Amino acid sequence: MPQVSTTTIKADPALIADEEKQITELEAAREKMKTDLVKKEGRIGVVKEKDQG
Amino acid sequence: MKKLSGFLKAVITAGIIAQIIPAALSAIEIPLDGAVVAPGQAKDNNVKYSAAGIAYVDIEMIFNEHPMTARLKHEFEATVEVKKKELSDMESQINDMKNVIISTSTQIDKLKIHVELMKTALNTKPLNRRE
Repeated sequence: MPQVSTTTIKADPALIADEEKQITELEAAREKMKTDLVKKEGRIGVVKEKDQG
Repeated sequence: MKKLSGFLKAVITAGIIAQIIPAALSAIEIPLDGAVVAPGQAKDNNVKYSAAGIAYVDIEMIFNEHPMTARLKHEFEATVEVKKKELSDMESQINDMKNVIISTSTQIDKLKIHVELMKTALNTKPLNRRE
């Protein structure tokens, strides 16, 4: 008989809802960070351009 | 009357000159011909390049050719150092933000997989259950 490794997953609707909420929050935070990153990269571009000019 | 008119002309001319001279002295032209060095063409160790690759000016050449005081030179070099540090700090912050975004994405992906597994488990009957 082949050995099969198993993992128990606790499937709880409340836990699913909680994790889905966490995903939404993390995605929102990530989008904000991406926006901030674009702004920062824009600022560093301006500084470099000014210094080179 | 002629004398008064001449005096008025002199006053007006002096006024105009007084307006023009300070404006003319508010800028100093620095000749950069031959002082701008392309990366990899440094003649000595005095030419330094920042990590961002922005400092291509041979400062020694500029200040040797111009009658500027050592104080001004040091001030200029200090300003350059501050700017270089600012750029370095900003680049460091950008790298940190990129790393945070990557780790957040990884966390989101793991949570999504876990949620999908839980949803599947909820809709799947256990294999060992006998009905």
